[in-house]
Amino acid sequence: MHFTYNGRDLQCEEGLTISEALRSCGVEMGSRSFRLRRWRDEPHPLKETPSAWVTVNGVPDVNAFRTRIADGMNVESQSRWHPLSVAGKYAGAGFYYRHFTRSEFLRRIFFNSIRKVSDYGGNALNIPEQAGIEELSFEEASTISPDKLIVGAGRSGLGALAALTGSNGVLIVDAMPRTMLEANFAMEAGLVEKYGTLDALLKDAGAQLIEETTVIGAYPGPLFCALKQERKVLFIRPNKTLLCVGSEEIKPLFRGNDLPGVVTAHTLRRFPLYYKATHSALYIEDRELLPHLRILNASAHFRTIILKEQDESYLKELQTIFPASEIITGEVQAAYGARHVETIRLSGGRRRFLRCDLLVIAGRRQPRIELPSLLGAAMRFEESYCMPVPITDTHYRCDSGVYVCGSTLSPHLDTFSSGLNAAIAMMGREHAPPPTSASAVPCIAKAPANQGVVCFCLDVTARDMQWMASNGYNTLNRMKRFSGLFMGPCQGARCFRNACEHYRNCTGLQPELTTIRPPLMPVYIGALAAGWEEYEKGV
Amino acid sequence: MRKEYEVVIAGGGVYGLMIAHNLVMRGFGHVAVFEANVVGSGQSSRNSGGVRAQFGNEPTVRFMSDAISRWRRIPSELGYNILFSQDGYLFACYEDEDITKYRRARDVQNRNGIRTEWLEKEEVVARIPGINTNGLVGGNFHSMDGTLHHDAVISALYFSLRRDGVELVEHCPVRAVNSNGESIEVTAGEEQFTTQYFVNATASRVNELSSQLGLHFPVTPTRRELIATEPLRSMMKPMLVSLKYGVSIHQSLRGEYVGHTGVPEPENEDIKAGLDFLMRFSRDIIKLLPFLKYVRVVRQWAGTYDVTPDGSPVLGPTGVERYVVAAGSSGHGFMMSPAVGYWIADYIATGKVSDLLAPFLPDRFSRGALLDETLLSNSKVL
Repeated sequence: MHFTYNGRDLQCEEGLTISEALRSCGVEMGSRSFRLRRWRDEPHPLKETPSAWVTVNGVPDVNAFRTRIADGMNVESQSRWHPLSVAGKYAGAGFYYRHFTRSEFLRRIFFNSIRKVSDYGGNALNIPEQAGIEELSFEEASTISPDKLIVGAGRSGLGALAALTGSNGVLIVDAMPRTMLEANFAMEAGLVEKYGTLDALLKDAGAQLIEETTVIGAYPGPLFCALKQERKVLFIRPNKTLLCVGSEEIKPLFRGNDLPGVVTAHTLRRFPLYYKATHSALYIEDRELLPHLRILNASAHFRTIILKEQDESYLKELQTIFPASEIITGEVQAAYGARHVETIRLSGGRRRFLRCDLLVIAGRRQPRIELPSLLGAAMRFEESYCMPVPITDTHYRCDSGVYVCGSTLSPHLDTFSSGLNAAIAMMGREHAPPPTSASAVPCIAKAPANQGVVCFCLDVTARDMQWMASNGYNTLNRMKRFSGLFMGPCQGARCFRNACEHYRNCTGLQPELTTIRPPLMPVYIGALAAGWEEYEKGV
Repeated sequence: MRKEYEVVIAGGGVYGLMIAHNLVMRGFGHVAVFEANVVGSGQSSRNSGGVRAQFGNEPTVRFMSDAISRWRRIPSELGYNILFSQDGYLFACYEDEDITKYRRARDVQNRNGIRTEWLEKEEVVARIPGINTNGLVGGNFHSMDGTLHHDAVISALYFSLRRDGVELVEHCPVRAVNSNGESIEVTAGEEQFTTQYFVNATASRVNELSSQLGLHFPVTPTRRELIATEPLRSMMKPMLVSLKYGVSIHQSLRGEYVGHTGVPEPENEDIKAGLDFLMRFSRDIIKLLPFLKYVRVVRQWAGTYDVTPDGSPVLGPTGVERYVVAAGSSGHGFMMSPAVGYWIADYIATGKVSDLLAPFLPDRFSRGALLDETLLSNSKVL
C-alpha cells in the first residue's frame, strides 16, 4: 500500500490501521490531551484512549486508530495549539470553576474558548461519508440463553473450563481475539498435554467460545449485555454465571508515566507493530507469571529487565527466559523525554539513569470489580490492592448470585486453580474453598512522590489530587465531581487503583467505591439501535 | 449542635442549599442543613443542568425569568464559575405535530418578558447541524436559556455555606418533627432541639416527615435516566428538545452529548441504570440526530423526578405553622433553585408570600388551582 503522510511517500502492508501503518514506517504520530496538552499515543486494549485525529484526503477529524489505510490515501497530521492550553497546564484541578467568576463578558469568551480547544474528539458529522472510508455497519442483536456463562477466557477461565469437562451448555466469552486466547492456552503446559488445542478443551467442556466480545452491562435477572466486535449487541441470559474477569494491568504513578513509549505489557502484546525500540526495558513490579513473560519476549527483546524486589529464585528463572538481557533491581521513579520516553530514573542510594525508549511495565494489576458491582455485590477492602473487591462465601459466590474467582479477589491467588475450584463449586460439587487473604501486603510501602498522571483520559495528575485533598475535597466522590476523575472513556479502568492509593496517601482515609456505571466499554448508539427489535422480543 | 436554631432545613440538595444561602444573605445566623447522605447526592448531581424559561404556563415562565437573572449573579455571589453558558433551548417542530401549540407557547412566554422567537427550517439547521430535516418545519428558540454544571453549583454552595458558618451536617437525617405552636421540635441523629422555622426540602421523601404533622403532599418518585457520549468537536450550542421523538440532548462544554428521554419509567426510586432506557433512547435519538449512530455512549446514570399531579413544585408555607415545604420539582427543580431559595427565604424573613411564589403553594390542589403544563410536554413532565 502506498500512501502519503504530510507530503512524504510511504509504504506499508495491507490491512493495517493508519496509526499502525505510520508506526511500521517509523513515523511518530500522537495527539495532545485536552487539558495539559501532553503528548499521548497509546491504544488501549479494551478501552478507548482518546485517540489521534488526522486529516485524510482533505477531510479532518478522521480517527487514525480505527480507520484502515487505503492505497493512495493522503494523510496529514492535525495538532492544534490554543492560547488556553498554556493556562490549563498551570491552573491545576478544576481550573474552569475558579476563574472568571465576576465578569459575564469574559465568561462568554471563556466558554467559547473551551469549545474550540476540544479537538479532543472528532467531528461526528464527517464519519464516514467523505473521506473514502468504509462505512461502519451494525448488525442486529441476538439473545443467547446458556446454562452456564463464563466471562473471561484467561487463566482462571481456562481453569474453569478444565473443571467443566463432560458438561454442556457452557458459553464462554472474552474480549480478546482468538489468536491471543490460543496463546493463553499454549501457556498452560498441563492443558496442552491433556487436550492439545483450545478447541479440544472447548469441545470436552461442551463450551462455545465467542471472542472479541466484551460484557458491557449487567442487569437484574441476571441479564448480561455484551458487545461483539463493537458492531453487534448480544443479550445473554444464563442460569449460572462465573466471572473470571481477572484484573487489568495498569501503569504505576511516577513522573512521566504518561509519556508515549511507557506501556503495559498487555498493550505490547496486543499491538506489537507499534513499538520498535532499540533500548527497551521491562519493569516487573510484582511477580508476573513467567509464561506471560515468555510470550512477551517473542515480540520484544528487552535490553534491560528491572525487578522491583530482589528475589533469587525468580531471578534465576528470568535469566533462562531472557538470556541476553541485563537484569537489575530497583524501582522506576521517573521517565523523561520530550515527545517520547528517552531516559528513566531508578531508585537507589545514588540516582541511577538508564537510556530507554520503550518502558514496558508488568505485574501491577487492578481488579475488575465492575460486573459484581453492577449486580450489587457487597465489597470489602483488599489491602494489597488498596481497593474494594467483592466478598465471596466459601462457595465462591457473592451475594448478587454470581460466582467470582481469580485475581479479582486477591493478587496472591493461583488463578488457574481458583477458576477450577469456582467452577466445581458452581456445579454444586466438592471443591477447595477460596483462601482468605491472610497474608495481606500493605499497599504502600512508602509514600511515593506527588508526581505522575492519575487519570489519563481527563488529565488529572497526582498533584491535582493533592490540591483537592488539602482544599476540602476530602472524599473520592467529591474529587471525582470536581475534576472529572473516572468520568472519561475508560471510566476508571486504568486509574482507579492508583487514585485509591494516592488518595490514601494524601488524606490517610480509606478510599470508598465510586458508583460504577454501564456501559463498561463505549458502545456505538447505532449498535444499540440495531438491537432494539431483539431487545423488545425479550421484554 | 445547638439547642435552638432559627431555621433548620431537611435535605442537602440544591433547594436546601440555596435556601440556606439566601437566609444567610438576609442575616440569619443560626441555620442548619441536615442531609441523610452526602450533600447533593440525590437529584442535584444527576441532572443534565438545563435552564429554560420556555414553559407553557405563566407562573412558571415568570418564576424562571426571575431565576435566570439570579443564575447570572450566582458566580460572583458564590465566587465560583458554575459554567452557566446561555446558548438557548430549541424546541424543534415537525410537520405531524400540532404547530399551534408552539405559537401558543410563544405567546405565553412573550407576554411575560421572555423573548422566544420562531426559527424557520434553515435557521434550525444552521444551529443544529445534522438534525433530521425530514418534515422539519422550524422551532421555538429562546436565546437566554442555557446549561450549567450542576456539580459546580453544589461544590460552590458547599464551600460558600461552610465559610458562612451554616451547619452542614451530612449522614444525619432528620428523624422526627413536632409542632408545639411556638416552634418546631426536631430530632436529628441523636440530638433534639427546637427551631423557629423548618423547611422540608427532601424531594420524594417529603411525606416521611410531613405525615408526622398530619400533612401529605401529592409527590411521587419516577425514575429518569441520562446518557453521556464520548467527547466530540463542539458542534451544537443550544439544548435541543424534540417533543415528537420525546428526547432532549445537548453538547456539554467538554464536547460530550448528554441526552435523556421525556418518557417516564414506572414509579420507582431505584436509581441504578437500566437497559430499557439505553435501548429505547438509542432507537429514538438517531431518528432526531442520525449522525449519532457513529458516536459511542460512555456512561449512563439514573435519578428520580419527584412528580406532582400538575408537574410543578410545591413551595411555601403549609397548613402547619412554621413548617415550609420545597419539593415536587418534577424534573425542573435545579433550574428554579436560585429563585426558590430567594423567595422561600423571603417568606421566612417577612412572613409574606410573594406573587411569584403564590401559584406554587401546596394548598392549590385542594383549591383546584392546578397549573397547566400540557402545552410543552407530551406527558405532563418534560
